[in-house]
Amino acid sequence: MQDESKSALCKNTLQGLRELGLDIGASFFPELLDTFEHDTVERLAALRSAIAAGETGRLRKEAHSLKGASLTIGAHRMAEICQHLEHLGIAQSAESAPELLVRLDREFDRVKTEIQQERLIL
Amino acid sequence: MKILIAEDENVCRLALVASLTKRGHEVVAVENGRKAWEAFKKEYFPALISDWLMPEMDGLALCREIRRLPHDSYTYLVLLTSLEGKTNYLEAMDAGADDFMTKPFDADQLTARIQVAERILGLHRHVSQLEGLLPICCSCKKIRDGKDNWQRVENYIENHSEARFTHGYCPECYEKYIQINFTAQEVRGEFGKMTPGNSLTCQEHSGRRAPASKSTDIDLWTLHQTI
Repeated sequence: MQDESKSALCKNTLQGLRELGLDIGASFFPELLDTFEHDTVERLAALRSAIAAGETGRLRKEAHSLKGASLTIGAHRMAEICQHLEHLGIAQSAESAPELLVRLDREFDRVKTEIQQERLIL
Repeated sequence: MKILIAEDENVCRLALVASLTKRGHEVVAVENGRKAWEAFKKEYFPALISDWLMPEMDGLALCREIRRLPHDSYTYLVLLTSLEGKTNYLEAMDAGADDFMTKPFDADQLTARIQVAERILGLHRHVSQLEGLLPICCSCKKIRDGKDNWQRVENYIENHSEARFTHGYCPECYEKYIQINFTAQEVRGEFGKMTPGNSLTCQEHSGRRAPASKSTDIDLWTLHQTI
């Protein structure tokens, strides 16, 4: 069961990225958030399609990419779920993947809410 | 430093570019190994940071292709890893990778890796200069350095390495230049007490005895110049 009392995004990671934006340009941080949100929607669709088709190779690849993006932005819970999905892809067994995907969708909703809050303070 | 980044994941790539740009590097970023390879064939990059798993051409294949190119200058290759299980570092080293970084990258670690890259590239340039072709005068054997100055070969090597010279003669030159001249001087009554037998010592800068070379307590090089 997910602990939803914790933040979906790591505050330290966000602070580091925000500070990076101060050094290289104000557009960096909002662009990064937009890219993450946009790409995650596409990755989730690709994961759904891979699981439905039983394509474990594609499941592994998409989960791996989403894990990397999630870690970069500080969405650790999302990254953790992606890692489980990646393992299923490696093991070529996607039986429990639909359940993990539901958890991933729910966690992404939390992340989006926090991203929206970040945008308000920019 | 000019750095090429190959990373298919957009968020990771943006963060990498930002982090390196902030530190004053010139960054070119592409989203797969194939594009990185195309970019590399067009121009030289001193450093490449590449994801391991990428579409079209992965990081290992990219490393292999770059190492196959007959470049005079070295490229420092860093592979980004977030592979599950035991990462096959040896396979990556065989492919030509120099270093590894785990994703998500830590900004300080990234800086440290690039500093290592700069040091290695500096040493490589130095070694290349020493190993490379040197213009040498056919007559006096002086060497032309990078600043268009002509130096004696021993000065050049001393200035570009830790080596130090002591001057002596190989047996052939000793016979040719010294013994004959000693004999002539002795006949004329000059350098009466100095003979190879009682005044020569053998030495090298390393301290090992060198039976094939001979030098004297007095500077035979100077002596030879005066004979």
